[in-house]
Amino acid sequence: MKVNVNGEATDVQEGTTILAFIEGKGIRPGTVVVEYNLEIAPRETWGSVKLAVEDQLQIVSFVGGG
Amino acid sequence: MKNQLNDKLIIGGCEIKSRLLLGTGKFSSDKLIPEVVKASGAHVVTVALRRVDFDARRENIVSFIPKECILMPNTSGARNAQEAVRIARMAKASGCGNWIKIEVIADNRYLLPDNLETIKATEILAAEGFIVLPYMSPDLSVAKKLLEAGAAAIMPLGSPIGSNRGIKTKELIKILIEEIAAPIIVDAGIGRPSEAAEAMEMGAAAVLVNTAVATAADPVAMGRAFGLAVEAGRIAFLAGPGAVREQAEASSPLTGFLHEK
Amino acid sequence: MTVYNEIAQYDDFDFTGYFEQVREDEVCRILAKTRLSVLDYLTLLAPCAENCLEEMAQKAHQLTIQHFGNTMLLFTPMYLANFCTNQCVYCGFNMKNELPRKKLSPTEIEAEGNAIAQSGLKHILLLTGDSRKETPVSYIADAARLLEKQFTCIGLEVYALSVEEYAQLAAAGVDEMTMFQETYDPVAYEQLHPAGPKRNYHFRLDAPERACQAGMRAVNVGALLGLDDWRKDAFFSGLHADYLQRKYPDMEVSVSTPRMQPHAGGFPPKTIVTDLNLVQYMLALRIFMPRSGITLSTREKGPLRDSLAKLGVTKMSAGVCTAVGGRLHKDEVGQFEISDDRSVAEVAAMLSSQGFQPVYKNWQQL
Repeated sequence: MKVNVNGEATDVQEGTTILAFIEGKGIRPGTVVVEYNLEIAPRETWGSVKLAVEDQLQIVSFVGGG
Repeated sequence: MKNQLNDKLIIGGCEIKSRLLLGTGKFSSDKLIPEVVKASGAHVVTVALRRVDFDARRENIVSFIPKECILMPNTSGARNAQEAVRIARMAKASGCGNWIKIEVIADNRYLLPDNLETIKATEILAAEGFIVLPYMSPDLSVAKKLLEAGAAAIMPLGSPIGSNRGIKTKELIKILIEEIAAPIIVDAGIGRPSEAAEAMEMGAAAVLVNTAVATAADPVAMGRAFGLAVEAGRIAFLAGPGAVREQAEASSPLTGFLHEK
Repeated sequence: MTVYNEIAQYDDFDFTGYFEQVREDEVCRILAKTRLSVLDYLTLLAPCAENCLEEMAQKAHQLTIQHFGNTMLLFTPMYLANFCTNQCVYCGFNMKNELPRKKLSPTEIEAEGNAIAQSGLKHILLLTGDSRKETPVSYIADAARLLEKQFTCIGLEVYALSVEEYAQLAAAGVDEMTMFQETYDPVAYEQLHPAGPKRNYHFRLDAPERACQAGMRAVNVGALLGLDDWRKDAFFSGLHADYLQRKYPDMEVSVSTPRMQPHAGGFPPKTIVTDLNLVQYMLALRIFMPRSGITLSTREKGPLRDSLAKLGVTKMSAGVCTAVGGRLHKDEVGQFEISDDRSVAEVAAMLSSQGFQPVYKNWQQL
């Protein structure tokens, strides 16, 4: 199924949780913030929220800036 | 030297140990950052928030910033108040604290901030408990409104972002320093340590520098130079510069009548 | 939060000690600044700053020209009534003083207004004593309406009013409000005002702020120099003006620097304020508040006024009479004796000869 991650349609297996998606991309969960369908998803919910078709996911992290 | 003993910069209830605030963008390598922070003495360090690029793996910038620093995320990328608020909330969710530099830019040519949207975002975020430091085009009535909206400090630009052109808005910033009862932090445009010292001699509470350090041939040495310049400028301000005498002119005395009988 | 909060911060302030530590080089350093702190202003009022008076005068003159040009606004007072319920020990209109009490009728107000208008003045200051019974707000409002046709700017110097009352008078055409605190020292104030509504220090102190809130265009504050320590009263007058200007940035704030003069009550000043003292005060005030008006009355003698014109003054009264209806009946007793009885034309000629343009009309509400 397709979900929208950081503005791009992305293939995800049904039943994937937010946490599993992040870890699947090789990202340490402690370094990012996730917005799930325009709401900030608290870290403790990542393991239980399963992605559904056309969900919107924003995964952001800090970079250099002034 | 008596003035210096009690000279503290307090923002949002925190004592800030250095009047040089440092940005972390544009370094040739993030690995330089810990050394630059140390050499400059900076205590408040800014970062930005971006979508994760799944293809280019990078080390998280936060891991390069010494633990004793206050992290101040900015809202760069925001084009209006709503987007700035959204970015600020995400930044806070990372658990890095509640400081936020509001930066709302709807103009890609000059990168000048949108003061009106900045006021709106300040009001919302201050009410949510953020320590808000808005970046703005220097304007007295806007600064007053930002303060009423709950800003902890005001950050007028010296000249456009990244231009390294110095404090072109000097006269307007002077007015803010005179009239606003909150720290005025000159942000953007400071290209050389002498310009940072100039801002401090004018009575600015602090300066925020990024490009000038990050793009120097030796960023660590330049960081140190800025740290020293900011300190020197502050000491000079507290010391009260001597009178600059205008060219002596043969003007007729105005108080002679007091001595006539 | 009123100006009293700022004044009260100096309750335990050691003024004598502060003045003693002021040195001349400190005064010079302050003269080089573009913006003075409140304590810088106090430094310029120190006895030691007398040694830098000429330097202060040059700076004050330059600032005045920069902000006001080579102009001088002329105005004149019109005493509407002298009924009073106060016993201000220094005032000729003290209720205990035996003098004929009167108030102008509408016809007399118009006649007196005509007499003044003939001199060319467009700027008038209306005065009454403190009597809500004889000269209620409605009486003052009626007077303003009668004079509105002839005068483009109407000022008011009457007893302290509420915000609503000031708003009522603003609606009737009053543009400016003048209120002297007389002295900012609450203890001295109490002794000088033994009875009457004016005894209420705080109600009077906050009156200019209420006028700001009521939509007047300009306020004028000041102390009557000589009633108490003039340096402290000068300091607090400046503090008061600065407070109003900061809090109400759209208001035109001015300060008057009246000195006590002899009058029918015969009350002697507590301290003698010399010409030099007066000059120092006016210069310090101008340097502290470069954009504020400074008003000079005819309490001062003609030759002194001529010399003071270049030292920061922006408004001068002329063709003055301090008696009720005095321009119609020459023999009335005034509130205080004036020391410069020159006509408007004579004062205007003096100003022209000094390079000033006398301004009769500088404002008209559209």
